[in-house]
Amino acid sequence: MRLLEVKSLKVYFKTQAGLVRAVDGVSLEIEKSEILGLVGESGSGKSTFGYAVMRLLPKNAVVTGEIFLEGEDLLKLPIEKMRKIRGEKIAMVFQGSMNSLNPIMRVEDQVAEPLIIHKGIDEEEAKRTARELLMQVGVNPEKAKSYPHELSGGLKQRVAIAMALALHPALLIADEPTTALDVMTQAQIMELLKTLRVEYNMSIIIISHDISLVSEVADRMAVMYAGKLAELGPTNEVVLKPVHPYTQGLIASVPKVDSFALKPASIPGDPPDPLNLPSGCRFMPRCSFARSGCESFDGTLFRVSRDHLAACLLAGERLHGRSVG
Amino acid sequence: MSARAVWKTYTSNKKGVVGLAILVFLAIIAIFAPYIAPYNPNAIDPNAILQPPSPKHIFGTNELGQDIFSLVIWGSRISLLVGFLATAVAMVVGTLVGIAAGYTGGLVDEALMRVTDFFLVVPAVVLAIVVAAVLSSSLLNVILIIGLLSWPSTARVVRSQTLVIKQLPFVEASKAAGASSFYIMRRHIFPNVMPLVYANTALTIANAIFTQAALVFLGVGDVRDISWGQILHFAYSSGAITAGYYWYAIPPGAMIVVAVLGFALTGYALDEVFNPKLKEGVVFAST
Amino acid sequence: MGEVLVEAKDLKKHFEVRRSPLDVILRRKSYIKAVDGIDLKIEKKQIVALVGESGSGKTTTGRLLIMLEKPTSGEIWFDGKRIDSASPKELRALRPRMQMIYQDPYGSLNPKLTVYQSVCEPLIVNKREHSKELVMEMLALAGLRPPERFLERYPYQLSGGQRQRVAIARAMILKPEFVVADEPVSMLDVSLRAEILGVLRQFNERLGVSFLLITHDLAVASQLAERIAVMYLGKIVEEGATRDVLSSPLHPYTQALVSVVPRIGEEKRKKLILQGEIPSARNIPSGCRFHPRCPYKKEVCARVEPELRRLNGVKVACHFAGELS
Repeated sequence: MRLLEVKSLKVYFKTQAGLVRAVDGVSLEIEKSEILGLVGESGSGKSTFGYAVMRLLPKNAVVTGEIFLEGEDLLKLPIEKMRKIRGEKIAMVFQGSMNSLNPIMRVEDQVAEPLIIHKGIDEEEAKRTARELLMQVGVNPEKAKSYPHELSGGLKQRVAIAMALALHPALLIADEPTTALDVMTQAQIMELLKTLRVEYNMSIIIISHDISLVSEVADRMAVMYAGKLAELGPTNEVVLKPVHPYTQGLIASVPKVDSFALKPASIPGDPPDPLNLPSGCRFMPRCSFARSGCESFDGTLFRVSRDHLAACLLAGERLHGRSVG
Repeated sequence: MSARAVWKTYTSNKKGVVGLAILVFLAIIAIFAPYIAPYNPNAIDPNAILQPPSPKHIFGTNELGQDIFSLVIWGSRISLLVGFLATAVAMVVGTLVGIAAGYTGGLVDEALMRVTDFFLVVPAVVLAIVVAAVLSSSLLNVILIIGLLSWPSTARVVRSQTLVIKQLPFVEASKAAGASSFYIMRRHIFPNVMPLVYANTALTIANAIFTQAALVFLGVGDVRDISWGQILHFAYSSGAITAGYYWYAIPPGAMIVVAVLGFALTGYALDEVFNPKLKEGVVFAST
Repeated sequence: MGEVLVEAKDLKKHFEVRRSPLDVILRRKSYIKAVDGIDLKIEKKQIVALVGESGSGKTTTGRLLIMLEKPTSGEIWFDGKRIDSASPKELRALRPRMQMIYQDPYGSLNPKLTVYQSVCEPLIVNKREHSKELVMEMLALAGLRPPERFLERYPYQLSGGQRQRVAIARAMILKPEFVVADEPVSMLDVSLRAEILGVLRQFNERLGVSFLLITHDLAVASQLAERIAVMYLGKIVEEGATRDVLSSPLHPYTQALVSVVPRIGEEKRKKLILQGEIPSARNIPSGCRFHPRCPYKKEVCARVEPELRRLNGVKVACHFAGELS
């Protein structure tokens, strides 16, 4: 049985300005002990997806679809049951959580807190477990006694991860875990997630706008654009043989260490206004391969290979043996 | 935030709506006092002394036979006027001091803050009595005294906000372009500090109204001007309160409470509307 | 070899730190040696990248070069004249010729001013002629097209990338000769970075502006800079042409940084992920500053600080440069 199965998830927000279709029909699965990279620009819906799985959306959100965790549909659970699942089965490291640590609590106390509250462990034991957890994420005991403002960005992020791990969840959702961190610290955090996947036998969804960084550790990649999945598949296939023009553009536009002042590619135009989504393929206005048929394309995913899917008519053509370059 | 956005957010705040309703109510009373008050408040009626509330006199009469309802209506004018003017003084002085101290820093900041501390620490009433004894107890002086007592809190709020804004890159960018300190304070600090001042103003007005009432009650200030505090002053000094003539004290007291409540609610609502607005950010979690 | 525009000679900036009352009594002073002896040259029309982790002193160096901070010692030269001890009047005359672009697109613009007012300000402050056409010209060069559409907008109506373009237009409107760009793209989505860097390149090619590009991301440096200087704890450890330094780095620190930059499709390569974090500039290690984290450290490294020497066309400060794989 798969760990997580999301079926046709839609998250719409009712705002004063209109209906925002943040997530518009996304389906994907995650196996046990798998790292999935969920990649997209700001506004693509990737963070909203993460919040939806945790059922932490604001009141004006309308959610349809199914989210099966080990066979149980989370969206149909009563709220008390969902609360138990949060932290124990699924944990989330929120965007910028390193800056939301409680400034007046020592770091080891903050990690101990979920243990005391959820599991009812006594304080001394919880603190001991907390210190062990912090060791595992690379925060040694002297630093564990510090207050958040005494720690660097990288250490604070490790603390946030330790807090999420406290109850040994089966699934960890890390939302932009490396923003505002140096390139060396980013590499350290990515290595840490890889190690934790093995040590905790845990699946991880890494949500990020940095496709190349995530491709270093993810087993599979899901690329989102304007609320829908553009491409999904094993990492090597998605980043080395991307089919969707958006994925291709994304990879081409990332600065590379060996570009040596060469003029970079970029995707022309801007992402669509979520209040005013175009009909048909949402990427079409910016796509250099756009052709007739795209304006009525509804975003179904075509199979490029056994596990590799792309929501593009070009992929459809491939199936009929036509090479699209 | 545009004016329309402010209005929309403000009206969705229950506190703000109630507060605003009270303020409108008070404004109507004060402006249309001559039309609302049934009697000339100064008119004496020796035959109707200290009468309890009746259909003829809704709030009863005082020891001179004056209609208390009319007195309370007319009293709103001075009470509110002093509240507004004193706050205007406080706002101007407080904002200038706050920006100057916060932006300049160093010795100027230290000096201004010590002056601010002095005014915060000195008991308001004592200071007022001393000043009133030295100068005359005119209306203008009362306004100035209350203004002087109120500016420190504005100065502190403004200074804190100035310190925050000072750190933002656009301030340094302006400096890097060659702007003088005065230009920066005027063009960058001031407009970004004002939203907080609006919220602070409402609370300051509430405080000023209360302080005026307290001062006049104690006899500081011209007791010939009709104001809520003045009514209470005579309610006490004529012995009416001790004798149990409740209708003399409750109406003016209630009006003070209502006015303070109205301004306070408005102030809190404004604070919620403007605060945390310096970092123009996403409305909810990013997608 | 072009004409030198900006030069730093043995530049130092030490921040005094207040310690405990005991230290005050014993008259013990403590310093944060943010910049501890830097030589740097930037030629006319050149783009030089200054690379390092946070805490390396790179931002302070940038600010010193345009005299937003006064150096503790050393010399700063601009266009053949010494400016580190210039009077406030002389500095004010120089300001229009040297500008800065900041990292945070959200703090770079006064939220109360329109785009037009923000971009126009440097002209007004310097009592120069200002017009809508001038502003629109800059906005267009910065990639905001059609520029008329943006004049009356407020920052809250713009995306992060758009704000950064406005900030760039504002920095360029005085047609400066030298601009320090401090992490100009690190808070933007990875897919936008190439474009914004392209805008800077435009200004370099069209208006001949020299840039000091401060960044922790080697890929960003590679995208734009001809020369690169790597900083660690206040000193430059390697310096040379971008192509030379990044394709065959000689200093172990540079080697580590280059190895961890994500490379699509090469996630199995050897990554030198350094342990721990950059130490505080309050407690600079003895000998070679990098030795505690260096995988190759030998006994001499803890005793003697290596000098910056020329080797194979680059400058590097390591006792064993050239001998390490």
